[in-house]
Amino acid sequence: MSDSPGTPVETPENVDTAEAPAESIPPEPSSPASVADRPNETNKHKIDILLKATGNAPIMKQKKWTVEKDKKIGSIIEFIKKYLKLEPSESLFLYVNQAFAPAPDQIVRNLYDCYGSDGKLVLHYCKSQAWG
Amino acid sequence: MGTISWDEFKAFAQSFLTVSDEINDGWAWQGDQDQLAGAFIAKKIKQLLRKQRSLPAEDETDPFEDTSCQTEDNHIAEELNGSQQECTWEYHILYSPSYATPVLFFNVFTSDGHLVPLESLWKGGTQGALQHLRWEALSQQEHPVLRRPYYYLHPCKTAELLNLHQGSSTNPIVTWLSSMGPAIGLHLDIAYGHLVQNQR
Repeated sequence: MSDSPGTPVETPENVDTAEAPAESIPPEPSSPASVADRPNETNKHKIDILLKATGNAPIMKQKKWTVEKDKKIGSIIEFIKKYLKLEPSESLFLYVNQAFAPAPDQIVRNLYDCYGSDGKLVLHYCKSQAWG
Repeated sequence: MGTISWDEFKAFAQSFLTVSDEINDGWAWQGDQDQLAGAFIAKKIKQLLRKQRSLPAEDETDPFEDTSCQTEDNHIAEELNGSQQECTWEYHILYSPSYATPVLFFNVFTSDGHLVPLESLWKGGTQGALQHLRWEALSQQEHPVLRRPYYYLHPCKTAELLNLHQGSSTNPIVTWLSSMGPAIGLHLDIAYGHLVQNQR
């Protein structure tokens, strides 16, 4: 007798406890949350980069660019040089953390993994006659 | 203004070596660290020397500069006409007391022991920068410690470069070397980037 009214009360409790384990971390920690945050989901294979000028480098009208993940740093440097119409003798350097120039054959994804934040990678560039 | 003292140089070089040891990059001290600018860090690797873009026509369009006046200099390899060749690269990072900055000395030898000529290095620069600047950027000089001829990258503008990053860089050697190195085939591993990471 006492069992029958008790059961309906217990049922919601059981449901609650059953739901509790849902808090556990999803099995794919590798999937970057930043990708999902972005409104445009088609850019899964691309990374947003933000190009900022330092020193005497001219600024770029458009600062935010989307590039493919396996884009090499060297080709981004070439792109900026062309965009800013630099002389061939002028050197352009690209930095992460404003202080480390990644090798030209380094790809954007690796840099993003190490230095990216908030779904984008900030790259500072400077124009320098660092020679002679 | 972007310059560093000898003691600072030693400290920055030491933390550079810490990373090198972690990733087995092969940099090591040579020389006498108690003497001002008497020591340097060095690395020797084997890698290909390649011409940036095969500037065609270089051999054909210049019929006057031909074999008749070729001096048989046994110490310097002929200009490398093949597209690629494996060479031994020796990189030395020294301290320049006159500029108060790090300075890069290096030598490149072919597998049979010949020194690679300057002309090939100008062409082989990965950024094309050396090709335009030539003597302004890269020439040969006596190695201050070893007293032998080495190529070196001119340090005149190094302080200027480092000054740009003053405040943002916690290791000027890494900042400078990562900028300059690629022009002469020296690529720093991404792990070195952590040395200059800002504390957030």
